[in-house]
Amino acid sequence: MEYLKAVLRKMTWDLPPHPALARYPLPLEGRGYSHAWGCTQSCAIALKAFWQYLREVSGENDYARYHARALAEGRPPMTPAEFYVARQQHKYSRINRCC
Amino acid sequence: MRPLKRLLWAVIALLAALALGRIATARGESINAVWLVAAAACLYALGFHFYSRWIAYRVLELDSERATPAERLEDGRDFVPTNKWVLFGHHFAAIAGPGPLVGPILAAQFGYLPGTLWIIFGGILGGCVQDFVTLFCSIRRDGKSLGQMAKEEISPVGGWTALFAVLFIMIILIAVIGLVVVNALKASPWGLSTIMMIIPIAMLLGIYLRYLRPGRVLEASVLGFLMVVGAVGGGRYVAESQLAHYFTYGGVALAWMIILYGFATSVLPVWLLLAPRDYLATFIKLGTILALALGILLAHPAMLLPPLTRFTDGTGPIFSGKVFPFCFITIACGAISGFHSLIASGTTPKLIRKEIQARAIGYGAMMMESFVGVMAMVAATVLRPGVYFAINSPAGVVGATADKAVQTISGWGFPVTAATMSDLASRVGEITLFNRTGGAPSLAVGMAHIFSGTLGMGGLEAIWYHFAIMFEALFILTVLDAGTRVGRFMLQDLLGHFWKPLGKQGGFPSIFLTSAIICAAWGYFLLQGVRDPLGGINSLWPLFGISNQLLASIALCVCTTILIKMGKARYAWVTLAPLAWLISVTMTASYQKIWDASPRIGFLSHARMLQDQLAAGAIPAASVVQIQRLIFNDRLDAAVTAVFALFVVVILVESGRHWFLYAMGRREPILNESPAQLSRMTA
Repeated sequence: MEYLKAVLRKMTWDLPPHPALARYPLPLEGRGYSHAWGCTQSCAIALKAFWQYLREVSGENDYARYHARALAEGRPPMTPAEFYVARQQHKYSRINRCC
Repeated sequence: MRPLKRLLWAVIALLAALALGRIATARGESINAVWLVAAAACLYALGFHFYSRWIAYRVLELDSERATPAERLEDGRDFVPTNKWVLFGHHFAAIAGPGPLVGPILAAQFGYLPGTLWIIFGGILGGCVQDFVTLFCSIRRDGKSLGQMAKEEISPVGGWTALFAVLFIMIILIAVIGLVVVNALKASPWGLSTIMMIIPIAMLLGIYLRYLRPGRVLEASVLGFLMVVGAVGGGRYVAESQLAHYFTYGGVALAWMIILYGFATSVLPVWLLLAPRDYLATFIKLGTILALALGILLAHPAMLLPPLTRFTDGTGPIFSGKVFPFCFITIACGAISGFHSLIASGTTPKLIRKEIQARAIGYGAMMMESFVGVMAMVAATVLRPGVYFAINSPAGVVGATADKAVQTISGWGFPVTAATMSDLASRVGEITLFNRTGGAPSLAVGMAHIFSGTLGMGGLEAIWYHFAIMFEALFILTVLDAGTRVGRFMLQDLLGHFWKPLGKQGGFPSIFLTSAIICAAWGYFLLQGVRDPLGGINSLWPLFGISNQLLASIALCVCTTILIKMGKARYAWVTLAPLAWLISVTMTASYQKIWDASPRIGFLSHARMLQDQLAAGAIPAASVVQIQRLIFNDRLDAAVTAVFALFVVVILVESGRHWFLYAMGRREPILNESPAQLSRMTA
């Protein structure tokens, strides 16, 4: 289980931490929490990590990153709809699918 | 290495040897598919752990301290440092197309052994190496494309060859996969109504993602998936109702519909149809591949197809030609696919965070695709050989009627009856399964068999079959629409050199004209395949295989040149060995497809045979025009094959000349790498 946790942490280290994870810092086992609670927590972490992974792969987090970057650079950011259209046009103007 | 680790790898190696031995010694008995899966899994594990590591550290000397283009040139648009596993998902979704599903199914006509060995060993020693080294080369050159690298590292001639090769391969690729869809949907109201429903579903999702919930891809994909499942279920009612008439078409009509679809996706705004349909396809294809892997492990079906069939001698009904070179041309994606080098030198090198991750992404993702090819092969082998050949053999070879077809196929030693085929067709909700050349229906029958066997829902075989057809069609439409659009951009770039307005990417006349040219080009070959009495696959699939391997040859030439320039000539065999194999395969296949004396193999001898029949007056007057068209098509195919072979020769001669000059010390090898910069990023 510890190994799984370590892998999950490694996989998601650069993703924005989910608020639920921040509330329950690891590891809980051995600090008065039961083994069952540890397993439940690990499952929850796995699900959250998977959800974060899907969000990253599908590009759902792209706008938040773009928005923060545009503000930091002092550029007026596009709206989510404008960003979505621009991103799709850019993506499908080059070879991005194979046989 | 620790003793326990050594023991583990020794056990994996032994297991691989045991599984391979079991497969190789099976004679006249069916063996369990788990042996095949175990052999593949163990060999991939060994290949990744030892061979890719050796290439990474000894040959390429990947450097974790060296900043990648994503770090140095980060712009939040093209260059974005991305999590390794996220990038792995992106890269795998980009390289995994319909090729590794369809190719192995077609090559199963030789039996499962040659194709499976080629997929596994071709993947480990060829395809994975090509993807990995190309990705590395592109990372060291600010994410430059294969064409740019060929131009800078070999010569401008190499660059132009790569550019034209890409355009040609796109045209042939789209035509041949379009043919696979046409053959799967012919006279299938259930299948066609389901696929037609995908278009309005995708447009709804497009509007949802653009106006209602911008960029919420996951929730849109879930909604889309539910609607697609509804469309698959609803297809049954269409097929059993009066509406069936409106969804029952022959090959030519379906081909025109696909051409129109390709044109529409190329000219319509990308957010409206292409992008949402692609999101839908990506999640469904990844989910279904995973389900197929689990299904095979749980159902552990027996393989009914023999390891070798009599058709290794070149008399195969699906496509003609001996096991060498045609098995290696038929299975390109899954073993080694040149098209991957375009992805490995496209988006991925601009997103990679650390050089060392190129190993897992370049080598690892291709290994996964190779494994998909093995699973497709398993899906083909669970069918009885007679059924497999009845589905895949064209009417021109086995006969147009059911009785004639079963008689011919049983005569080959693969017994099958018309009643068996009729029962199978009714179980999967089709009118007939005869003459469905192309691989998709037989894969769907195999998948339906595995899924219904695993989940214990035998009565739902028809749903599974049409789900599998929908999944394959989505896979194919992804390549078809994205390929047409990219082809349009490439053509606009090219024509813009001659007349500026044609290069304007936002100009409507230019968009319409270039889209029409691209669609006309692949549409011509598609219609040619549909009208071919031998099924079309016999002529078009080898063309696609040759063009794909041509691109792989270009990529391996570039990689070898760069290795030599890096001072790693003693390790150049890593890319030279697969290159030598590909050259021998491509050139032999090209020669045979053009010049072979058998009309079923050689384009020119087929044209000559038809010409002789015309001259002898053996052709009825009504068919003269059609025969003249067939003669023209044969000559055109021969010319296209010759052009591909010429490209191979040009790139090889250009590269060989440079290698010779470097070896003789008559030219200074200048490496065009970006300057090294220390990375500040953690993995």
